[in-house]
Amino acid sequence: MDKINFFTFKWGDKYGPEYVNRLYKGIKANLSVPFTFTCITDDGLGLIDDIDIIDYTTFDPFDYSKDRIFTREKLVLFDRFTTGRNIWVDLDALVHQDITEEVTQEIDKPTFIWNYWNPLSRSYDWYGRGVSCHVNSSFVMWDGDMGKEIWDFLLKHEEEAFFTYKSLDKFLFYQCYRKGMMNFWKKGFVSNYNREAFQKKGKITIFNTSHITRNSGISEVAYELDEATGWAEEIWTSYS
Amino acid sequence: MGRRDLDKLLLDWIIESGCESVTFVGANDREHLVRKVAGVGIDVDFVDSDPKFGNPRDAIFDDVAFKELVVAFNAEKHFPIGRKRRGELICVGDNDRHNGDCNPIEKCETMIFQNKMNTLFRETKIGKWFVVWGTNAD
Repeated sequence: MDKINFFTFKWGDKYGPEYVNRLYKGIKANLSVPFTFTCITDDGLGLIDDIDIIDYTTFDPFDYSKDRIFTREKLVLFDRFTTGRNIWVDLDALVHQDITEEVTQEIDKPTFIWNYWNPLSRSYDWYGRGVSCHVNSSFVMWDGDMGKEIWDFLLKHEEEAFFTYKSLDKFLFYQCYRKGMMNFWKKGFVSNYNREAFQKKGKITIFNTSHITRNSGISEVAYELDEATGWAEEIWTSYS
Repeated sequence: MGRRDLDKLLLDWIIESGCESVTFVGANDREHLVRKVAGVGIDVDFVDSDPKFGNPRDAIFDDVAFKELVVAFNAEKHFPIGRKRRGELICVGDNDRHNGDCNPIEKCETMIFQNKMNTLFRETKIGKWFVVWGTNAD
């Protein structure tokens, strides 16, 4: 296998450059094969030299409000990077154990995170209400043009998809998953800090909180990576 | 005015339409209404993407062959069915504004406009639901 190409996104002011730099260093510390690391950003200030930069303003071809299919920019990677092994990773993911085995395995479909930490009934008892989501797109791997089926599906149903879905993960769960367009990482590889009692589990831990701010009536306590304490803080700051 | 009143109204309108076949879209647990409609000799297709139903299909994102009349429930959660299909439609929607609602329905006119209805047969509000029956056929 040639180098693995990692991508992440940073736009706006929610996350500072330390998130990008520490993500890069976390991968470097936990991967024993060569890789590249590219940040698609509107502000490359403060990023270390090892990180390649792509201009974010060239990366969203869709003429819809940003609150529709939020983070749809990730799918653009499926269209623009169609050779070799590729992985996109959210800024608020903490890599804390060696991931070489998982990211060098053979795959036949784009590989997403399944939300094992949520009971299935949480998604399926209320399926028709449109609030379910068992797919997470914080760490996604694909080879070559494997993502083309998902990308083409979005283009074919662009108007309907942007009308219907607030988040990328809901679009993926309600449409692409049921059509068999994706696979998932094995249980135990990725954990959820806020949903799994802040425990150190798996090899990658995600801190996603956007569902709380983007939906009404959710009152759970959840911490961003920079608010985490204990083991998470210790590891994350060690990547400085 | 609750769901029973809504279902009775829909049964009356479906029979009044004279259509010999109907597609129910997103009807969820309305098997009783399906049975009643089928019981008066109308061919019924039940299209719902929920995996709890056999043969789950999505009326918006899958290729669905619609029947003579389409009855679309939960318009507040869906792309307007009338932009996918030309013909006779009954649409039901509410303004509850749940998290999964992409298309809150505040009045009947919203559904008439969104579904490009050029002829309106009936419109009403029953309980929390706005209900329109019309066609967008050329």
